[in-house]
Amino acid sequence: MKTPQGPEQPVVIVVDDDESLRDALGRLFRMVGLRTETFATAAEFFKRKLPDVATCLVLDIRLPGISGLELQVDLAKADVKVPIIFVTGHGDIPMSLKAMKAGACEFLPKPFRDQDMLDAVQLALERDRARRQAERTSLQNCGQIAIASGRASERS
Amino acid sequence: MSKLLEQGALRTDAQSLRLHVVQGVLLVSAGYYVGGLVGLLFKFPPSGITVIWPSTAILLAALLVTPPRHWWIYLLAVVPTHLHLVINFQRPEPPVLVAVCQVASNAVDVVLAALAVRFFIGAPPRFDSLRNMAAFILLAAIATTALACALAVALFVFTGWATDFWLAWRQRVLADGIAIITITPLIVLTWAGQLVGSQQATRRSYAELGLVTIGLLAVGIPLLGSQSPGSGNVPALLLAPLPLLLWAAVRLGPGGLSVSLLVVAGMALANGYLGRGPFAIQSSAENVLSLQIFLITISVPLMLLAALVEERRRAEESLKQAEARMAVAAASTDTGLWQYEVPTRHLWATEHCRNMFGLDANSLLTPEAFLGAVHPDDRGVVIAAMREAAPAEETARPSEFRVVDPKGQLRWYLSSAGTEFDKDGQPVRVSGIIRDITARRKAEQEAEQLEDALRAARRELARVSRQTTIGAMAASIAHEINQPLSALVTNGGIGLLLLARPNSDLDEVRQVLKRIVDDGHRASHIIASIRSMFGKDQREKSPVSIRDLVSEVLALVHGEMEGQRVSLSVESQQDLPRIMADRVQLQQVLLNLIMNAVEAMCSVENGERSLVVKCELHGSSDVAIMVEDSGPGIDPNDMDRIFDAFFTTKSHGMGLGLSICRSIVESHGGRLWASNRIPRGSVFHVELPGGGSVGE
Repeated sequence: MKTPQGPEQPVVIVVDDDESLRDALGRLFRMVGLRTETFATAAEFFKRKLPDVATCLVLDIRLPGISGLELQVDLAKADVKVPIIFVTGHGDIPMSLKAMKAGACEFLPKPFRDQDMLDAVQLALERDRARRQAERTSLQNCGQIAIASGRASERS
Repeated sequence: MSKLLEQGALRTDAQSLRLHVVQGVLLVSAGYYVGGLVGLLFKFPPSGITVIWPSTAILLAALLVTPPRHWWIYLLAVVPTHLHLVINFQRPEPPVLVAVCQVASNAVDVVLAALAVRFFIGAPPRFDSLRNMAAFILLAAIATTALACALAVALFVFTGWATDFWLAWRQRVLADGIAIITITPLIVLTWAGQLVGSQQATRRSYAELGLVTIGLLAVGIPLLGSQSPGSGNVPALLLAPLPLLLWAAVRLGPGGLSVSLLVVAGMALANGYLGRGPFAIQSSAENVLSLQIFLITISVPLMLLAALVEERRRAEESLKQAEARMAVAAASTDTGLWQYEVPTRHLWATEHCRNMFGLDANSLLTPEAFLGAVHPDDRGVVIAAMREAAPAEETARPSEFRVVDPKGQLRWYLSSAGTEFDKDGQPVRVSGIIRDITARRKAEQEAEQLEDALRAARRELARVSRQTTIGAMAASIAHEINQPLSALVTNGGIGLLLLARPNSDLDEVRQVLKRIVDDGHRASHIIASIRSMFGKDQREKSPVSIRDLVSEVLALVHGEMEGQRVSLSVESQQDLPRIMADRVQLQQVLLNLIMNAVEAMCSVENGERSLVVKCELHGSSDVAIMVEDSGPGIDPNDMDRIFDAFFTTKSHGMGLGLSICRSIVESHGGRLWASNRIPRGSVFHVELPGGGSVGE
């Protein structure tokens, strides 16, 4: 597998209580060279710190304990802007609408085609990468401004 | 005296009672004395015949208005009065024995008469009916007087005071009778405060009485007093006061008439005494007789007439009062009364009735005026009711209609009418009542709306709960099955990806394939466990009566069927065996089949909606339930597929109902199938094995 390894390699995080699907998804993402982390519940996921790389979340709407939708809300509250791809066992339209309104990237009803999943993940990572880039630029700008203003104050 | 007081209903102070009696005795004695003077002095010369004897009439009046326990006082009191009278004024002066006979006969007369009147009319007597007046004249003026006078005259003849029994008897009876007829009612009525009629005496009535008296004097003095009347104009002279007497009889009652009669009698007496007038033509005895006959002939019928008029007036008054009471009662219950005289086309209506239609007192009452107030849309109803009212039998036919009242508000009225017919079957009178039922209508409408809303809500609830139950179940099944399916699909995709690579790692491919096999098994397990949810022996089975089961389920859907206007009939065979079954599951099957039938029928507008549930015995112990509807039936192409899971012909629904039903029935060892009905509709057959065999 000739996949780029290193700190900049993006991560896909899968949260699904179905072990078989969770493993299959992990295998799929690894096959296309993506780092993957899998969790059975939202609580497990929260124990892990988010990596400082482009990341996307594949989330089952129905989860034991905290549901996928609740997890989405919690992340939004914590100002974590990671893109989310929802999967669900049954096409619940009101639920998916709610998820999309709350900023979900994609909504895939089970069973989904693996290509659809890979496309969705690719798009989500692209978006996260762009977001991180923008944040970094603005941070740098801020830094430059700060440095510039510092210099200015030195001169005076 | 104290004993008497205790017995008396009215507890009067002993002293005031004594005073009353003393006053009464004095008054009666005075009256008796004056009356006697009139009788003894105003005679037609040269004969000594008494024309009228008021004393007896005055004594009788006294007895009629006093309690019998006081009678003896009055009777004793008049004895010295009478003796003093006759000894001083009767010429020739009668011996003491005769005088005692006179007073005794008078006493017998008044006591008998008073007793008879008390018994037949009551005390004090009322002269306001024909019956009372006739009874009074017959009993008091004629019968008892005739009897008492016969006794007295017999004694006179016996003592030699009188010679001709019949002549003396006749003279005495006439003199007493005339006085009793004219004077006694006058005194009794005056005592009762009803001199000028039984209704409230008004000044106007007294003025009228005065006018009549003046009129009588004006007519009588010149006529009766004419010096030498020719015998030819005697009838005219006698008839002259008649119009005024009639006036008194009709307008002033027996009391007023008595006064008038006494005026006439007084004038005649005065003129006869003076030897003038129509009663001075013949011999003295004949003159007296003709005057007496004249007085009797005018007073008896006129007194009867006055009593009759009084009776009528009283009846009219009570009718008026009854009508007023009725009108008040009717108005207070918001009811209007009306009556229509068919031949005269005269319409009468209570004030409230007119107000209900916005017609004031001045407006002309016609059926058209009433109809004009009726709401234009309802006029047809009212006209139909009016037409119908005429020829039909006399029963009330209520009709309801709307009227815009004077305030511009719409009101609902209920009208009932009955028709009276004459002997030829022609309608004579239509009477009706109209009631304001706006409040009731409003309440009814509100209740109806509430009922509709409630029914709709219940229906919606039933539908939603059914859908959500089935929907939730379907979603849960879908989720459970989708879980292994997605893993399976994903792994399949991975396998393909692996194979597409050069030098693919076969171990890895094998692992993926193994997972695919596992997921497939997992899905199959899930399906098996869902099936087992409806499978046999999962729940307790008990003997179930199919008839009870059917009625339980029908009770559940009763509201729904009523709301959808579905007619229901149940044909259940008697003595169906109980079958071992899960009651709740069979209820669900039946509920599902019936609701499907109702929905199928309601999908067609204007179609007949009849649901038939039949329970029959098949073979020796199997029980069959048939649910038949009159809906559009089942497309023959779909007939084989309707029991497949996820097959549906409905715009909503999961297509699971019938397949679950079939699973349940089959788990009971039975069969569920469908067929079409001729000419339309479909039948769902449930056949369940009975006789303890629970199948499979």
